[in-house]
Amino acid sequence: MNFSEVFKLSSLLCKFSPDGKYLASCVQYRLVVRDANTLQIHQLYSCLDQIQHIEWSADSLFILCALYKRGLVQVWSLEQPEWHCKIDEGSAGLVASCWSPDGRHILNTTEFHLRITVWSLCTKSVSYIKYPKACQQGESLRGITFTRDGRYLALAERRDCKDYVSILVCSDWQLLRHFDTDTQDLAGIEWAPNGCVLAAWDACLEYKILLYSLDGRLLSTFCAYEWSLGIKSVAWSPSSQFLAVGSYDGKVRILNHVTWKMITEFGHPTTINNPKIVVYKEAEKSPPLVLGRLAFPPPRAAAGPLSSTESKYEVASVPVSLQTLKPAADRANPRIGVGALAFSPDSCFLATRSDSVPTAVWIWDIQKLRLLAVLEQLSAVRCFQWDPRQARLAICTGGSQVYLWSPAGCVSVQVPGEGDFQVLSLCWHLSGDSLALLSKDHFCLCFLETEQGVGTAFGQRADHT
Amino acid sequence: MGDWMTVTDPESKYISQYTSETKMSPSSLYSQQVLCSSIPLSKNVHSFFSAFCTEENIEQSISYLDQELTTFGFPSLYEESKGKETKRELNIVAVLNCMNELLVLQRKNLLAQENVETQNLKLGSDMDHLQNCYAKLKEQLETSRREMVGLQERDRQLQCKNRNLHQLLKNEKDEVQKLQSIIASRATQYNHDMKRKEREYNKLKERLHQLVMNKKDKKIAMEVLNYVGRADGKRGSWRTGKTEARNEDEMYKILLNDYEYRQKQILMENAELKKVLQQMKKEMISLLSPQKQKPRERADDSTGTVISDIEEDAGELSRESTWDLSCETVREQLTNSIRKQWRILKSHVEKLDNQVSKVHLEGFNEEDVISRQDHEQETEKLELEIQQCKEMIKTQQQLLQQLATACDDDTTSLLRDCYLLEEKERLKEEWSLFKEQKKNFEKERRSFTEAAIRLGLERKAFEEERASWLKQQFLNMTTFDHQNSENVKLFSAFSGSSDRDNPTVHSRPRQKKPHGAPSGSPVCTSKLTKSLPASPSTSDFCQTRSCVSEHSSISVLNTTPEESKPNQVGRECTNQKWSVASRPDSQEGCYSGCSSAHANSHVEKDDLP
Repeated sequence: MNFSEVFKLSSLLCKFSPDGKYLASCVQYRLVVRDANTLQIHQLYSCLDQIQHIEWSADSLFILCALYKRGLVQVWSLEQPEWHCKIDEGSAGLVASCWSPDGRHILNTTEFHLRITVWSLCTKSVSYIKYPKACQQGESLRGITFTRDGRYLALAERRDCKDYVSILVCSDWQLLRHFDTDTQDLAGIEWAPNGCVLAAWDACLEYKILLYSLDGRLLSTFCAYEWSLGIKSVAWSPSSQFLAVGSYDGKVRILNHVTWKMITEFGHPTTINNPKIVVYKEAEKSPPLVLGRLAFPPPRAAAGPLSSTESKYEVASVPVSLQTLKPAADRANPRIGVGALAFSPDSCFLATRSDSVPTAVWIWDIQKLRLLAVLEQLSAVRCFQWDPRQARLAICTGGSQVYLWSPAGCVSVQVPGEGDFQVLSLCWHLSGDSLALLSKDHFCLCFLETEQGVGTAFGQRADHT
Repeated sequence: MGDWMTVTDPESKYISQYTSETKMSPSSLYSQQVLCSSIPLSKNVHSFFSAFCTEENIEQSISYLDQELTTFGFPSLYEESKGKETKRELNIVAVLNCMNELLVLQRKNLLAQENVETQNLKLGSDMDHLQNCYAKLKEQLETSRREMVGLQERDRQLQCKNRNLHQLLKNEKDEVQKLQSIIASRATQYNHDMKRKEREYNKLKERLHQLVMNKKDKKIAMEVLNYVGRADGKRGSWRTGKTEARNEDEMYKILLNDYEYRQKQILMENAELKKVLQQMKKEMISLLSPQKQKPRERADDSTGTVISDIEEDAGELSRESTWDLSCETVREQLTNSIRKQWRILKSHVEKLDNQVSKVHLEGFNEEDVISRQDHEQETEKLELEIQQCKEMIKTQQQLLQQLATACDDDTTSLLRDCYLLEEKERLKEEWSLFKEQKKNFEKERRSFTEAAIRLGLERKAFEEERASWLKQQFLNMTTFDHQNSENVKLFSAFSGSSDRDNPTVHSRPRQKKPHGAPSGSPVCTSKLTKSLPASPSTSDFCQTRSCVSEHSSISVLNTTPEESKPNQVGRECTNQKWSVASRPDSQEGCYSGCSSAHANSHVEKDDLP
């Protein structure tokens, strides 16, 4: 495993191009495009203000940079560095901006979700979509979703205190279907990867998930329970076969694509008794004492041991009880329930995080429908992402390590470099060969060995006994 | 009379005669009194010299006595007077008779008294016993009454508790209902408020929109250096009805493709499953068909028909073409046949399971017993045959002897009578023939006996083999038990009631009455001690045996007094259908004795508090 040198970064804005050739990163108002392999600077663009959001177009030819504070979007072309485009939303303001799948239109959401403006880079035409529903969660827009083939856009709308979904054809922005959903407060919509089924779910006050066909027919409704906080996260399996629904009761329910009924229910027990489940517990590795390096004024490592100490995984013997967080019941958005879900690219594994057990990542075997492994970290899990090519999960906890799990085992890797490199976020390269690790001010690339090498490395590092 | 009594009391001899009786029971005093009063005559006789009769009043006394005696029905003391004038003479004979009679009466009375006393004694002890019983029962009644009161109290308390709980439950339910209604009302209120606020918000938004849009915001614009071409190289198309229709078409195409894809997948899955099903079916048929004969032997009609069905089905379904038919036509027969086969298989497996469990539970499976019985029948049959053969031989022998003697007689007579030589020769020939026949018969007999011996040997060998097999099995079992009950072994080693595997067996043996135990136990315990130290496994073995065979332990207990004769024990054991103990060997006897002894000790232990 090799690491690149550390580069500057701001606002955690670092993205691989969809074709995997380039890596775009932002430093204040500058956009730097590097070669993904050599990391040499390919292009450098300067925006008018601090960049708050970047997005590659699907054909990797353009990058949009959103400057929300100014209500501006600047678009840069990779092929023609001198080409530029500036979209000003004026006094309407800007809260979100995204590409259409064809890479020639930009969808800007104005402040207060007054409307969505569709700007075309091909023609002068501007289209407006009124009444978009304000269902945005953090960075991700939950009210706009494109099918994977880029043909259709599903949009959540709100008119006259009722929720609607509009399905538009992306090629000419024509309305294909428009139907109301039987929800109190639609919280999100998501296309299945095959683009034929749309999942729409209600806000957390009610557990309700609705499944619509592309032609607007209601296929099924699922409600696990009533009178309690409902859905927190939803994820489709890449095969479109399963829909995983994480909820505030700390369970993940898996629905199948034939009957749309529940196949199984994954609870997240805080004590693990089954000896078949492997529990990897991160443990601090006491740093090796090197006499020559014992400087008289103790080095900084001693002062901040949390970030600098190395760690390793130990296979804990069952029963294991995990550290739980007692949620504040009187606050909004309590830290309970399954907050993050991700299927592996082969749909064989599901990784989840229960917010009441923030230090643990649960990995479920979808073929056997049972818990396979639990990774208990020393600190709360920030983010995890599957390798886009194989069943390999990268996890970061805000420490100076990156953690990798595969069915063969588990490994904790110290990010080298002077000072602390606190990995706050990460993103995989398309090929699964490299991984961008993002900290507050810097990023670096982590190159993984070829599959064979990785296999042996995993075999050596993680012993199951 | 009372006066006389007081007078008689000082009579020392009389008293001394009765003091022993008075010592015996206080009630005899009473009887003595009764005696005294009922038979005054004897006292009169005794006190004759002291007070009753003096020289002066002999006549009066006699007359008095006469009177008294006559009133008691005795003949008069006086002679029958001839004339009235003559003075009545004292009849000595009569007096003596009277006296004798009185004495006899006295003795009889004494005997009666004794009887009465003993009876009284008996009754008294009975009374005591009954009183004791009564007291005990009363006590029992009291305790049970107290218990009942306690139970009633507990019952009342529990009922009270229950009532409270019910009340609580009801309260909780009410609470839940209330809360639910509150939630519902809150929800409606919230929704209402939300709607109102949203309307306001929408109004504001609309206003804002108008304001923002109407201002002719010059800023809202796009500056592009030059327009880029579309990704697909096409130009944008106008919106017409045609495009709409095209969009619809495309959408349906996508949906159709998806459904087709899914259908294909499902078909593939179905084909796979069918393949698996067929394979399973084939395997099942091949697995079940060899057992075809067995169920038929058991005259199990249903399975027979099912199997024939299976054969038919197999014939039908083995044709590949049926598999290509749509499921509906094939499905039913397929599922039915599979179901049938599955049922057979299940029953078969269950049977096997039962057998296995029986082996584990009883140590002897049914099959073995049956085979044993068969064997016994066979041996019996063979023995009978041998007997018959022997009898035949005997009769033949007898006949031969008769013939021989007859021949001898004949020959002697012939010799004596000087018969013809020719005749003699003929007879001799005949004689030799007979002799040969006899020899043949004897050979036959020998062969029969040899066969019997061989049979016996074979039987012995068989028994030995079985014994060894059983021993092995037991060792296996005991090792299994070992592993199973490693932690309870401490208890199991001596209590003999550790077997968790067969609680049903253990629920029963409490009723076994240890009538034979006291007589049998000394022998048995000695045997137990002899066999116990041999090895722990044997003790376990005995123990399991005892546990296993407790259903037959009554007979064992009955046999214990005769255990000194090993043959008899063996026979008893064969009655109990213990295949090991059936052999009248000393070791087996010891085993059986040991097991029975253990059963005894077990029962005894149970009786202990």
